[in-house]
Amino acid sequence: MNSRDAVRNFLLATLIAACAGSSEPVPPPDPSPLTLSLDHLRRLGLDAVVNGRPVRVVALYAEAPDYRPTPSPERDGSEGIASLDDAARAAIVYLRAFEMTGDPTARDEALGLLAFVTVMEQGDGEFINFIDARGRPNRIAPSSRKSMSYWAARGIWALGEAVRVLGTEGLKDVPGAREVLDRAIARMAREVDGGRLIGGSATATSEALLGILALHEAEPSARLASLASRTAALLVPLSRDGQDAPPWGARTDSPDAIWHAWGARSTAALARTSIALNRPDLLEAARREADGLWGRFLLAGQVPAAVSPNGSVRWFPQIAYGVGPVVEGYLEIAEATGHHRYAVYAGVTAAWFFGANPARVAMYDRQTGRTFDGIDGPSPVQVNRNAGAESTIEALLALQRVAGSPEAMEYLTYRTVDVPAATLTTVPDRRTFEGAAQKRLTLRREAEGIDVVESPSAAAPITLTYWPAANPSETWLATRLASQWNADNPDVQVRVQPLPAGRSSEEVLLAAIVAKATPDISSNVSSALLARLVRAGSVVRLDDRSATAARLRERTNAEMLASLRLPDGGIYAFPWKTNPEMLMYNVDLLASAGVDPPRTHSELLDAFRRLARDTDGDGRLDRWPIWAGLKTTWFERFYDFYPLYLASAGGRTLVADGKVTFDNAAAISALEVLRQGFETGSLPRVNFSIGRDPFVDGRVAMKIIGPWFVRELNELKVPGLRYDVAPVPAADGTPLEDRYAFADLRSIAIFSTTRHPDAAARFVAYLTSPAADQLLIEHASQLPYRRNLAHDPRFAAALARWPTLATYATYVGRTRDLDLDPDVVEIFDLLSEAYEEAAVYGTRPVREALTRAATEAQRILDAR
Amino acid sequence: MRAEQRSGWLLSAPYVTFLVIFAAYPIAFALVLIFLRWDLVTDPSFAGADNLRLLAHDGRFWRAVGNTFVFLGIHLPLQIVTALALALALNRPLALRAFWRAAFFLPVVISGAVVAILWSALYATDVGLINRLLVKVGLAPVAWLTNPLTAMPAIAAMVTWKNVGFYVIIYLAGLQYIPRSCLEAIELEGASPWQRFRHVTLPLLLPQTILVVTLSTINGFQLFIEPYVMTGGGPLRRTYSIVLYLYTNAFSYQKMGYAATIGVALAFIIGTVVFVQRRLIGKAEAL
Repeated sequence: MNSRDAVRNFLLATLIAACAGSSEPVPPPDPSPLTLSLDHLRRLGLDAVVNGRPVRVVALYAEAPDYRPTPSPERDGSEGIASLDDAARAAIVYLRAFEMTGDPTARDEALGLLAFVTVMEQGDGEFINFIDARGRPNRIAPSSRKSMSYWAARGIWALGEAVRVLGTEGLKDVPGAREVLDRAIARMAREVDGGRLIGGSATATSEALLGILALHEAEPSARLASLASRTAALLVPLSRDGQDAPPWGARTDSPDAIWHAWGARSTAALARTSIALNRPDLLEAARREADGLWGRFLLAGQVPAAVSPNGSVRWFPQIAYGVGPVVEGYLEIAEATGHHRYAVYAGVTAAWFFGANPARVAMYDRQTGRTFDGIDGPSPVQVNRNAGAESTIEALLALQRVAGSPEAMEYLTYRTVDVPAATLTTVPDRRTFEGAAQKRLTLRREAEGIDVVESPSAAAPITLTYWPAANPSETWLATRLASQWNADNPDVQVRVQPLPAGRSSEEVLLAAIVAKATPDISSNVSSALLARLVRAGSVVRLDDRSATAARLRERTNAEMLASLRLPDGGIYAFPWKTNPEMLMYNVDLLASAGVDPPRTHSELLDAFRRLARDTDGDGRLDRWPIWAGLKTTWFERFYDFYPLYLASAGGRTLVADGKVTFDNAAAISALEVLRQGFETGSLPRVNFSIGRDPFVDGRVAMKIIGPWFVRELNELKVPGLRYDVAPVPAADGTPLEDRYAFADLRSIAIFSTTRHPDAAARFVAYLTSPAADQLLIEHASQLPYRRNLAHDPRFAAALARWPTLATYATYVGRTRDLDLDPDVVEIFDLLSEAYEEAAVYGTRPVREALTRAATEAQRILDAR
Repeated sequence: MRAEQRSGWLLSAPYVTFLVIFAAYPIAFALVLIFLRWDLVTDPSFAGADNLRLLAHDGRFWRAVGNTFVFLGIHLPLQIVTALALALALNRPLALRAFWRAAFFLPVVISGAVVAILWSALYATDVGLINRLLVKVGLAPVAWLTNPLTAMPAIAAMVTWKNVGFYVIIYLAGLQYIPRSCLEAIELEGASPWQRFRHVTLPLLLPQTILVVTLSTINGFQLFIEPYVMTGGGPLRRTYSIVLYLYTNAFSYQKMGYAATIGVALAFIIGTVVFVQRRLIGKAEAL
């Protein structure tokens, strides 16, 4: 080492020791999130040609120990090698996997299976179920013949899900699928209108109903809503007796029929219908079986195979097709009611897949994705270790739902402490389960249902510090949520401390990091700060923590997360709320000037000309179309240039892969429209920072702003101010699908100084739950970063609380944020300079100003 | 060690400690930072002479230096003339003289940020008091803070107003020490008031003027809060001062190494300018 190196190293060591000392390593995630393997399902996949068309199918069986795909045995009448029943449900598994991960191979598998569903339709909405090894449909076997039965219902379910996940356009990749779906729905409607269950079965009817609801979510219509309502009406009266007499509200195909766990999806279907159609009565119907019969399962300690009308029970075989629908049913009710306890029930029931069963064998294998075919008795040797299609698919369907529920995930490791009950007629009044760290959960029968009592772990309670934004509405929200959490979680207490004062939350958090005084959690982290925090190792990765991974799954999809992933693929801050900016306009001022809300830059320029007024006749303009700020502080461009640019940039932002991307026509158009506004005097060269907002007092007619402003307007109660919002105008000729809104995404971060990352992750999952999101909308007029927010019936009432908020919500999925780049602030400053020179003062041509800014920005990126 | 020496060390220890922690260490730290890249949150890395090279070629920095000199060019003469004029006025028999002296000193003790916000309101183009008065007398309103030609003069005027009380006190102290006999003698010789001021008062106030110039220069180079609050450095970077640029690099861009380089360069510039000033004024004094 030469002397220069020695000096350099000494200086570095001194400085690092003084200022940037290393922090303690963050404990690894425990337990790890539920990662679902589709390997075994893929292994069961086969290529086939049916009616001359190449399709994908799923082999029916796979026998231990080699698990080779196997056709239907002679015992079952040699039905064939594969069925629509399995293919349709497997397609749903793949579609949901694609939705969450964006994995194109999952999409391809789904499309291949949907092609099989499509070719098995017989031209009138009825389907055949099986094919033989040569791809010939089996028209003879009773379990396969052409009908509107189980396989038809599952076809509707799969195709409906496909429209929900892939969109109407996406389904066009399967030729003829849409026509098949329409014919099948028409055929189904005939059954429903005739008062007949599909295939005479509550299961099949429920699965068809789930398909209708999925389609309705993507393409809401009165016709589909009506069909869903009529179908649900067939299910409601199937519930037998009340909670105190056998069969405890069980929903069976006929009064004297045995209730069987297999495919007991009517509870899930009714609960989902209640959400979609806002029908509390259907939720009550859904809860009859869940609160009655299933409540006894919880107290008994296991889910049986079948229950007779007199209450006698057959406990075995226990199979995934029986346990999975109960888990899904509980989760649907949890979603519909918002009651945490149903998610707990789902968790302890789903624990069956991980060894909480009479045989104490993990039925689902995380490595291979295999699910054993069932348990024939209470010992490991009585486990059927084959892993056929139905077991594998049904387990995945249930566990995909569990993986999206942080509350259910928490209980997957819990085991019943006492031996299971032998009957359902005499079940104990309470049952205790034990999880990791000797934490105990007791389910106790109460008048209202099964109560959940948690015993905290033996360890001393921990305290988390949470910094929300300091504005009154968010502080109120944080305080309220934390106090509820503290009441429910005596072993993890949260202390709320609003973010200390500063010019921006970024500067405050940076100061806290340098001083090593960060809280455990902060909920106002902008993307501008995030990249830097990650580079410094200051925040905890969240997509590998069980609770936050589950909440991400419940709230978002692959596309929504794509732009938030750091180069290592990780999500390091929970995307909490997004506030898409739109063009807010004064309805009366625009009407009086004969101006419609402008959609393009040409229309915007026309509006500039027509809205600029000298109202008092003193020769000076005193009313303007819009106000673009004159200050060059980087975030000022959030309200003029940047949203105008994003509206036309086709999803591009400023930087991609270390290259500047804003030196383009969209930026030129955005800057040019502002330049013309200033040059003609339509835009004022004035700062309105003192006094009231110029939009509020009618001095400007339009404003680019996010939904938080709606709350401010509401508080100001300006008499006579009528306003509405429209998308930010885009450059002429920009296609609708290329238009994006700017949204300053705010995330929740867990700082690596925390000693309790898993407890913090649980609290973050709680802060981002549907119930918390409803509060966020209702009290702060801000929008959670949540998929399908505008059409999610659970949030309709909250959105309706504020004018225009429902319109804002339609843009949640079409936003672009700041780039996750450590130098984004400096790049924005360069753009601000270009804006000032080219647009405000016209001292440099637009193109030259942008090119100059782009060159300097690239130099900054290259210098890293 | 003798008891006297021990008590000497003991007595000086608090100040030495203070000096080391709050002066010597930060200075040494800043000098080290010049050779580093450091964004506050990640570990620093060695930058060699990159920060110095960047400074030499950074147009924005030199623009900020130029802006600061423009500010000083307006502010210094304005400050001296205003302070001296007010001191002369307040040195005369005057009703409520103590009140006036306190009134002029009051802005000195008000927070700079508060003053900047108040003056932003006064300068506001649409509803500002100054423009309302202009309109009342038939003149057009002026975009004080958003016009590239008026923004820096407007800030200089405000800074002058804020600090004038302090310099008035200095001049008033100087005026107390001018012998009345000198003034009376020259008055008996038939000198006019202007001649008395030009040939007696002004030369005898030269030490105070040197102090005012030095302090105003040092303060002027540290111009920050006013453009930070009132203009953000605009319009067209015309009010971007050296310290504002330093602050932006440090706390918006987290370029601590470069910010330290700007800080050291600023200290060097201030030292040079004050040195030249003192030499020039010193020569004038000798004459």
